[in-house]
Amino acid sequence: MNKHSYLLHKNTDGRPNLKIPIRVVHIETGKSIHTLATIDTGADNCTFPSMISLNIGNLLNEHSKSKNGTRGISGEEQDTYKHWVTIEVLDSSRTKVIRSLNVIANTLKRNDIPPLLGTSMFLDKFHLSINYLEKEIELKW
Amino acid sequence: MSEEKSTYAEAQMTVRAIHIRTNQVLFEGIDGEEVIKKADASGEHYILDFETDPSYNFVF
Repeated sequence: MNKHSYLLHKNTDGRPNLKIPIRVVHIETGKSIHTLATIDTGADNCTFPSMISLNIGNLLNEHSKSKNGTRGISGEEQDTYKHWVTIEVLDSSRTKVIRSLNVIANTLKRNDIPPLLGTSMFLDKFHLSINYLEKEIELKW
Repeated sequence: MSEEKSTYAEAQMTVRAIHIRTNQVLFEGIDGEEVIKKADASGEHYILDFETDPSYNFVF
């Protein structure tokens, strides 16, 4: 079994945040962007703000628009766009790819959310351990 | 970067472009698309970081 550990990321005010480094890659062109992404066990799907998807060349148009939108705790449905992307999980040095997964990612037409790593096609491929006391995230697969 | 812009304001999220090796903050702001634009133009190898405004309780 492979495994990798990350130190629990802290925001500037000291709040712990479950972020890991990834690279989001356009499935056809290979254009990519590096970002820290939040592990969200409550999210059904990997979900990105529009700036991530637009930057790698995925369009938010009628062709990519999903019939079903995304609902969060507010219950308000958000227009959602779907694209196949490759998510490369990086090690804690952010230089080495430790796992690469092709996923159908959702994009919301807004930029006030962080990139979210959800269950379907991503978290369900890992044994995930979060140790807040030891300030560590561990991925096994 | 596409010319397409988002329709929602980015009022509660700070986006930082951080040098991927040194952790130095290269650019930061609430307009993430502008941060990416500047970071791309700089030619530096960067990674994005997103931080929510601590004044709000975020549930994703």
